[in-house]
Amino acid sequence: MRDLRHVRPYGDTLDDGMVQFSFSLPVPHGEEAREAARQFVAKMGVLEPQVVHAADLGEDMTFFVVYGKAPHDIDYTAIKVPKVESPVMDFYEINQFIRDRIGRKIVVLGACTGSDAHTVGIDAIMNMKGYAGEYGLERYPEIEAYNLGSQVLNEELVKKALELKADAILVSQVVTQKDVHIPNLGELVELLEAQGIRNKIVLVCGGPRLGHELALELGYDAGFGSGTLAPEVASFIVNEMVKRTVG
Amino acid sequence: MAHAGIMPLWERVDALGVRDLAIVGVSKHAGKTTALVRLIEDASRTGRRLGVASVGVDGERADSVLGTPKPPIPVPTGTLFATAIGAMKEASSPVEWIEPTGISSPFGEVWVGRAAASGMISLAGVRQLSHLLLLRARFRSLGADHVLYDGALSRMIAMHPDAVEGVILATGAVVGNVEDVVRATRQGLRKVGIGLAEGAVARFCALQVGFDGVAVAVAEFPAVPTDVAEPAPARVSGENGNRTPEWSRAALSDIRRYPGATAFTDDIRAAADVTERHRVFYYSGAVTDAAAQSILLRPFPSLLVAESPAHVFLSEGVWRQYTRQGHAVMVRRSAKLIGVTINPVSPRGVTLHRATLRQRIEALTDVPVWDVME
Repeated sequence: MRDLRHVRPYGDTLDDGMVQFSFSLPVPHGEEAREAARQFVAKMGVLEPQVVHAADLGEDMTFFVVYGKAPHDIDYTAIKVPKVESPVMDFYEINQFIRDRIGRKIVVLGACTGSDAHTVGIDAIMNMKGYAGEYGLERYPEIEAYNLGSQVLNEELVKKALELKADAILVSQVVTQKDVHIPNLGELVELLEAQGIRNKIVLVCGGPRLGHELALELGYDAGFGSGTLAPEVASFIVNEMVKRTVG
Repeated sequence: MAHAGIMPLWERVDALGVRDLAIVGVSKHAGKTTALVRLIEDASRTGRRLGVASVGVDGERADSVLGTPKPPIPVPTGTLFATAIGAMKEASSPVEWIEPTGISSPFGEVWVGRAAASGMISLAGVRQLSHLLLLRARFRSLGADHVLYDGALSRMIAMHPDAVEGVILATGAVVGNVEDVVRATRQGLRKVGIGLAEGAVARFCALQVGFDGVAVAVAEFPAVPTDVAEPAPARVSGENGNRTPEWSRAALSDIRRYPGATAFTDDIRAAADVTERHRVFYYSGAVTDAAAQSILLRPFPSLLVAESPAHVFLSEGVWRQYTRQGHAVMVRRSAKLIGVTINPVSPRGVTLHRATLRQRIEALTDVPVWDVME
């Protein structure tokens, strides 16, 4: 039986601790470069580092793949990651829920904000044809869904939210550099607070680098990671809307 | 963790007459939590009872952004605080849980508790301005002398004048090299330190309390009597020599209000009855680049008035352009700037030259500068 209190990486055999690194160093390709890569990985505390691949990238840069053994283990049983805990309904249930509990169509805006031009995430949630067998929000008869596309400025998003009287805003951040998504996501919250409409809007963000915990820290109501489907997001929005009117 | 030298922060808080305060950072890991720990230690030594909360998740075992450990928050017996009970699993302080707040979080509902003995606590679950207002009232009723908020991720709501009377700006090596820190701090100071509206402008703003929209007014400046040796009520501002009037001396008239107007949806110049003589623009909501750009090319220097610094969202470039034209920005109300804390050590392991950093930050401001690692 596996010991989940001491989990180590698996390479060839259980608990061998094998890990693989790939990185570049700004040094010319050669034996010295290989040794530099080996020493670098050793300094990270990795045991028996072996450079198994080194390639000249040109311009005095070298790319490496290094194997080694990690001396650490993880107690898997102690891990707790906050996740959105909202009952997930299906397409039909969500529309019925909106008719029964909200009594009007709801307005949802989606956008990829800042410098991010990667709409794969927001499209999977919004587009009528949907993703992985689930319709996107544009298909929901009780949801007026507006996909604003990519590189939308926060100011523009708030403008649309005011004009369309949005009930919910979905922000997607897929590819960002140097954590630029963090201040960018934060600014939207601050703008909504300053305009006095933060409490009126269910604010959700999503993307491969966004968990629920970070989303909450940034002042969002929820954060969804990769692979999230439209019903999960829609269920959260409608439940949150009802919770606010009841609460 | 006891420190030999104590930052005279609380003396300054008293001198300014501040009761509730927040620490806001120019970026994450700017040393906010470190400064918070120092404030709590010092408060305890001077017999002050605190109510403590953090905007965002803080005091957590691991940080969800950089993956670096965060400093725990040690508190003395009797400290009031608000947190999600689920976030307290790693905390060591025995707690007397007093009441639930109705604020939900991924760690469960936020409760107000009291440290039954000294120990470590984790603060989490508080995220919105409405939460801060609710907690302030609860802490007050439970006898807190001061409410102290740790702002997370430069959350500007923590410096909202509805929530606090004073603000400490935290800056540090996480931003980059000394030049980067100076630049980010200058921007932070510029935002926290926006001037308060005075005179007729202040009275005009007072009329707008509770109003949701944009209000504009014609501004005129009285001629200076010839027997007064004072120069004309204007000063040269910006590189192009445009003159910024002394707004505190303006006489305002022909006030017009546009209910529901916002910087996002309306170009106020387009309103039929706004003339070029209308030079004062009050926005109850956010003041954005679009608002500044809409009056950038007006022939007379104009004044944008925001509700508070937390309502100003001007980018560096637009701000510079705008003020160079002789225009100005003021706020109706703001929390007082208590001081600046600097953290020369970054969580990525970089240590900046302490004395240089301190000198450079002191050169930016008149308020005290404290090194949280000293």
